[in-house]
Amino acid sequence: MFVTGSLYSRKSWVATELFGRLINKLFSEGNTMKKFTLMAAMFAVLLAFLSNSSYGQELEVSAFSGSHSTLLYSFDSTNIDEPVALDLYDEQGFVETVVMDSMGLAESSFSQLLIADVYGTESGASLGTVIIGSDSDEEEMESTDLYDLPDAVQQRILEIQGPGFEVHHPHDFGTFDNDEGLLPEDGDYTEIYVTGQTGDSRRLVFERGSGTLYYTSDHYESFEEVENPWTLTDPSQLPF
Amino acid sequence: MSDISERQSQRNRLLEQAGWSCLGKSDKKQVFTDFVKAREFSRKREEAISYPAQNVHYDMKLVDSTGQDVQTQINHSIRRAVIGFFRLKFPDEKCIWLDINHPSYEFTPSKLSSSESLEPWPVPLIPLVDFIVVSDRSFSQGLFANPKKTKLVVFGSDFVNWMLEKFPLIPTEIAN
Repeated sequence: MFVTGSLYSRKSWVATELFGRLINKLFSEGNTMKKFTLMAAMFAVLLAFLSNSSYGQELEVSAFSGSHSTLLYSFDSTNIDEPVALDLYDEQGFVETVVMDSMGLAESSFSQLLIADVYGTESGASLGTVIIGSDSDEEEMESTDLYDLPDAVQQRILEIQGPGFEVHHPHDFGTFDNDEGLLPEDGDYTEIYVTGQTGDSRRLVFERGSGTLYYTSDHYESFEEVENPWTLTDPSQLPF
Repeated sequence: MSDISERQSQRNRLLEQAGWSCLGKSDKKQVFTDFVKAREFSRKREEAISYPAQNVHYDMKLVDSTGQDVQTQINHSIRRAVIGFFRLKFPDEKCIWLDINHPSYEFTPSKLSSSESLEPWPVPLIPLVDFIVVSDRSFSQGLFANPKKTKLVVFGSDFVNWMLEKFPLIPTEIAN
């Protein structure tokens, strides 16, 4: 999962998403105290949705998963003469306070939807409430039948199951590191070129442990899982 | 061991012997995280990273349309210019070859192979498919291969001045 960008421009989407989740949680929650907390969170979502930061600034958030799911916040605080802090809340309530450094950067280790109250640490003056969410980590990956893939891709998948297939590039059959976390974490991935043509951004990524094969047509920007790719061999017997 | 694994291992051994030390999983993660923080990398951004004030952009689309021989010459020319700078500026520091989603390396410029072609070399630096960063550890002076724009971006004032002098291609954009 990797997201970044303007929070306010995605605010209505995130607010709707978060509000929906909070409602579901509210109906399934038996504990009265927690119900109150959830209702307070819903109220904060509504407030954030209806209001803009008084400074009209945007809080940028980058999120990347890995051994530590981390959110990196950056905020243009050049017009504010005091340190800025964020009080972070999730569906359960208060999580932590993070204080921006002099560069306007801070980070925390949560990747779920969060609400942040942003304020000056000395005056306590509110700079606004923002909702921080990911629009990609909850989405299920699409899957595609082998025979719905482009001919060259089908051909490559069949070819690598037999002897004598070509290696097109130093990265071909090399390790895929999944740095941006778009595939499940802790996989053991091998990347495979579809053709040796310059500029061909199509790749296959094979997860050795499970035998899962992924296809990306846009050079790792998005993936789909290939259904039943191993028609000629047992994936555990593949030589890569 | 299969032929492919054997070939990969042999290649890694050669790179190690030439001074390219492959980053382990946690080191790679740390380097990537530091890069995201330092240069705000996201492939969804227009330019993929935020550039420091001084940078030059080389449009490599024309190089893409040339033949193999020209590409090889340009590749060698980039290597010599890049490594020449790092040898001078950061001779004994650990520098970074970050190839996003792919094996990445740490190298000490003064200890890299001194052959004319600088072989072995991780992968070509012509930005056709992969995001590659060659930089000092703090990402203050470096080169970013941006396949989204098919361009090489050199950042950091010293490196910019060096490349303007040593690299034969004419930059398409200079930002001071």
